[in-house]
Amino acid sequence: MEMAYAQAVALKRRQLWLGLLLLAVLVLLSGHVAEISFSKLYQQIGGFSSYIDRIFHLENGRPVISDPAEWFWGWKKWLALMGETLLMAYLGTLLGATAAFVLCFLASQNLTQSKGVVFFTRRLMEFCRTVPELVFALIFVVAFSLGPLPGILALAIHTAGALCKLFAEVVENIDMKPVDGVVATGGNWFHKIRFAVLPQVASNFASYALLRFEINVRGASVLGFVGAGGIGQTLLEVIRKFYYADVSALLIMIIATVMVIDAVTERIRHKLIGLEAKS
Amino acid sequence: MSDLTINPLATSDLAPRELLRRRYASHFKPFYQDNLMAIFIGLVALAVFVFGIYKLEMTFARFWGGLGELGKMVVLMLPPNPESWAMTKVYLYAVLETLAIALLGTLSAALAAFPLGFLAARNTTINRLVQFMARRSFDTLRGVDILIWALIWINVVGLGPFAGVLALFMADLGIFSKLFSEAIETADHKPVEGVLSTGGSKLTSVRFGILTQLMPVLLSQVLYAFESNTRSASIIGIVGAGGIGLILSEQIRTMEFQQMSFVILLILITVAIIDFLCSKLRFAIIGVRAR
Amino acid sequence: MSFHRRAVLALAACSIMAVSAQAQDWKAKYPELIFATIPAENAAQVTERYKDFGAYLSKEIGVPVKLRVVGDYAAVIEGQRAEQIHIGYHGPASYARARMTGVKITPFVIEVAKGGVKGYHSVFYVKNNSPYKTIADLKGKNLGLVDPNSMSGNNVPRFAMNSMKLTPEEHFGKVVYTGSHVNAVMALNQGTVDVAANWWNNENDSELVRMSDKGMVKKEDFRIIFKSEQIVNSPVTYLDSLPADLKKRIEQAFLNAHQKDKAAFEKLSDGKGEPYQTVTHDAYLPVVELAKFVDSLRRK
Repeated sequence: MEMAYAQAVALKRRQLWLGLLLLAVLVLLSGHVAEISFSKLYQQIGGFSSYIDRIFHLENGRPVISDPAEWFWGWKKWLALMGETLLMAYLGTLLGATAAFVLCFLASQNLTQSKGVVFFTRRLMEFCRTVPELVFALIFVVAFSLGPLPGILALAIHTAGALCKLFAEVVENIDMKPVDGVVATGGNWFHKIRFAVLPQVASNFASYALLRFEINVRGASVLGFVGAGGIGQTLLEVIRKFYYADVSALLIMIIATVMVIDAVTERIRHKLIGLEAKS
Repeated sequence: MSDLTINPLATSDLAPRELLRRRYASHFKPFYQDNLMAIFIGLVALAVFVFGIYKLEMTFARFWGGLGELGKMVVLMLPPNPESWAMTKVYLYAVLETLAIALLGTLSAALAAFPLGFLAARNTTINRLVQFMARRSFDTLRGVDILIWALIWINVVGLGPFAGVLALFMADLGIFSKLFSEAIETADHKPVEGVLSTGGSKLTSVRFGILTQLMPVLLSQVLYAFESNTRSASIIGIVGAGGIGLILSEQIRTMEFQQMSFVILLILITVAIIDFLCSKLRFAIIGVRAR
Repeated sequence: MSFHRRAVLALAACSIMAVSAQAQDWKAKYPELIFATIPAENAAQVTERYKDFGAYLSKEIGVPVKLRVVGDYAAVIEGQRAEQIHIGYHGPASYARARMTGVKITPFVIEVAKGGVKGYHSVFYVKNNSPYKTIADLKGKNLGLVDPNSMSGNNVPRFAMNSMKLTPEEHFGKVVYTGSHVNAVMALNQGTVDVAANWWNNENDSELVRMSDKGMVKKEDFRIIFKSEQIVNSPVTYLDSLPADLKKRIEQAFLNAHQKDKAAFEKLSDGKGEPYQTVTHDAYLPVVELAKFVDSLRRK
């Protein structure tokens, strides 16, 4: 008995070492491919701190906090752009969540008879989820012209893919008894969803959607890099034109917005999870 | 269950309806009474939605016109065609570079976040101030999108995949630290007490009490993040931080749609393979089969 | 020989050796030089255009000169600030921006176009089949600029529109930085923008002509609706911190390029350019003024 235990432990150990060895090889290969150079990093790390230093100093050389009015000179313009960014994230999340809501039942094995439909929906959503938003945005800018519209659509499609997977997982985990109950009373497919499935999943869905909104605010802030609206284009411009103080001002605005959204959605999500636990 | 026929309710069953109504009054209330809050939120959400559509000029005409353009582009994109073997080699190398960036970025961030997670967890930190500062710093790291980090790091180490790895490192550091700290906070305290009660030091209590619970969870999160990071790594090339992103954005600009769809196909296949490997790995480590 | 003369000869020999040793000194400090250019075109095209010239420079200067492809104009500036890029080919505006932000570089040669012209123009293109005749016609339409640090692709257009009492972001529907002169023309071709800014030397020498020669677009599809005053041509710069000896060699290499490696030199401008000439910072003072003026426009 003790021999068996020792052997099992030894086997696990061997597997662990082999796994780590494989990982080490992969890491070294990757380091070579990715042109990692620790000496370069060491030399240049001063550049990073000097860059951080530069963005926190105004053009006259004084630190930014010495003159907040000058630091945030464009706050009206920038706040409007932040608002546009938030609106983009909101619309994208809402559209994507709606699409995911409609499609997730088709992707759940316990509610859809046809295995083919489930498979097809799942693969379609994987496509939407895997292609990065920025790639969709690039393509949509060519099709839909510049502005927030391509950005919102890119966010919506990616959100639909990501949420549909999560929604489908929730749906597949529900208690089937209420569903059977509705069927027993003669309900059709719509009744099934509305009365048996929804009450169990609604708060989970909302929670995931809010999480997605938080992620999308971050994503929306860089869509402007490719002309798809929001504060991204301005940020790109000030970084490239070396308007250093503006870089820190904009970054702080973006970070502050994300933090606020984070905190608010977390509050709401905790309430929703509480609701779910109660029911 | 299989041979029971389900008979819908007959009219006769509805006879005691009044009795039911009186006994279960709350279930017969009109829908809107219970859910005033939800309806209100729904209306507000709708109002913001409509406002957004108006403010951002998302007219139906634009949408429809754009859809037509998109259709034309999709037709041009099929079939995916890399044009030549030489180009295919370039694409494959770029995909390899993308994977390298993802691997190194994820790994370095996970390793660095491991000790930092303890700092940000309420039950293992030094004091409340340190924990608060740690949490806020990670929020800052997370709040900055990876593309922005890429731009900053390109300024430091120059163009190329190294900047990409560093950018991924910064972004993931915040994410992993937060995830790790949350996992540490929700860890069961009883094994820790158990070790302490048998005379173990604080360090051993952490090693055998918390870590054994934590490892599977952390590894699972890291593997999941690796898949997501592969996708992030594939776009940072757009600003010059290595990987296949640069190729992709140039193809879109020069309208080489068939080559572009080939590259997108490569990305899809790569992520699917990574997904598959990661779930296999997760099963091997945790013994839980992912769905 | 007297002792005195022997001493003088020995001293002379020593000093000659010292000078030549010093001359080779910089090779140890600079085992290779990095040459970077603003990405007026896309990465592959830049590499294609400059690689032969890079080989020529390596031969002339005596150390390997590597071409570094960068993603945007600012990258050349940052690269020289970090002294990672030794020889930088700038546009006039990016050179001005570099000096304004304290990068220690000096221009040593200037590009020359056909006819000895040391200047070029900024133009606005529209599609030939579009109805626009003037910038005023393009109200509410989309403008494609090049890069925030481009002279012909940003600064001069903004200056010109300011003279017309127009603010680009208000007059046009959308203003976007396409990233390079090639991208601006491509965006116009695709219809993503309705008007694009670009550089232009003469009828036979412009980014559009270069693209047309490559078969990327047809130059007949486009027409110019605006041409700016002449802008001083682009400088090639080197770091102030390079040894005087090395700087001399670099200068000579550029000034003699048209003779010593005609093919590589001609490739730089599709055969349309004339030999490099020397230049100093003074030629770019007006450009610095313009950059400061355009900066001030932002605050309005």
